[in-house]
Amino acid sequence: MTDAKNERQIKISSSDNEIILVPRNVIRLSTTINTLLQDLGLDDDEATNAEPIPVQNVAAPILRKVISWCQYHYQDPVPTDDSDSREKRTDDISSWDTEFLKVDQGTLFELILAANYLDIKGLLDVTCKAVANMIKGKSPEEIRRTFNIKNDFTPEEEEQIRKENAWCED
Amino acid sequence: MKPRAVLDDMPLHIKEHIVKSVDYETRFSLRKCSKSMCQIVDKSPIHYTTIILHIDKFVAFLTFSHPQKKSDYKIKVDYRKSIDHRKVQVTKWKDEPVKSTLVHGVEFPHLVAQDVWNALKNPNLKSIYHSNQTHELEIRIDDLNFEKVKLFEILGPSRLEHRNLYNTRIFTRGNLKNDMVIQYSEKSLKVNTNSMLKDRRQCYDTFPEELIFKLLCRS
Repeated sequence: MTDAKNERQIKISSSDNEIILVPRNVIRLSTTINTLLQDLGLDDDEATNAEPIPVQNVAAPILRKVISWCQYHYQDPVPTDDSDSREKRTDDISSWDTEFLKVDQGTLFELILAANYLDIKGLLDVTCKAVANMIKGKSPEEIRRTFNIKNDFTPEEEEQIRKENAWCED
Repeated sequence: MKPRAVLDDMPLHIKEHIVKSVDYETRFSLRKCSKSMCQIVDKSPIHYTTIILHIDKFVAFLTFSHPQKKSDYKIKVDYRKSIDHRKVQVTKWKDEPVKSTLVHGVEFPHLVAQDVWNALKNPNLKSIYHSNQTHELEIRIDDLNFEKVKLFEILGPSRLEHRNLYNTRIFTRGNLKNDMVIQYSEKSLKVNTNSMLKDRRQCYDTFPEELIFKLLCRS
């Protein structure tokens, strides 16, 4: 892994107005930032941008965590497009990512939303896999409790759906 | 204060992304959580390579599996009709029974048919077809007396065709007269009936649904 510290730095600001410097090659993982830099004509500049790129939907603690993920992964091969609708594996999360994702559920969901907003495919994949792993093996009621899902079935619908695939119930 | 982790508040494509990453069993659990999760699961692409249903008057075995995946991608469930009318004992198996539930107020064959249909009704359901390796979806129906519950209507060819379930084979075995293998491929349909008189193999350009329905109902 090459040292990213000597490379061009990009200034970005979080939703709570904290300014963070991040190496250009590291933040390249974010398609959203890439597009903004290109649209603003800043991608060819050698110097650090004077005005920070606003990341309005992500607070500083989450943004720092996203950047730390990018710093570890920015030299990974570009993920292939897996839009062929095959179901995804979830047992292939690396040990580094497993440690990285040892966070509370609220933080994990914020990371998903940040990865989505910044369009960082690898981070979105791994965070969604982490949620999938949390869901696995749980009964419907356990899933509702864990993820605050409102049961909006009518009593009649619930009676019917309880009978269907009854082997999933507690 | 940290926001609550509410899955329902996530954008739709993220929920779909998560659903794509869970195994068969968890999908069935997820679709029971809420209406919106049910809709997402029922539309999220899924692949089975084998669905085997053995069914007779009192017992049914239903297996979903994916040979390329680990053993936890295999679900085996048995359904036993209770002596008491309108009760069904439903048991999930791994290597041994792991969970058993008594379902009240439902006819045994209807319950089985509904569960199979829940697995098949996804419009994005596809069997896996690789250039070097063919995996076929198999449905084995070992009792031909199910026209009463319209099981065949539920699993009928037009529904399979709608889902592009090419290379689907429907095995039925009720008695010697009606032993039948239907192999439905992209270009043709083969119906192999082992009648008592002789073996017959016919090819059709389109699925002769009416003919097959008659064969099934003949027992």
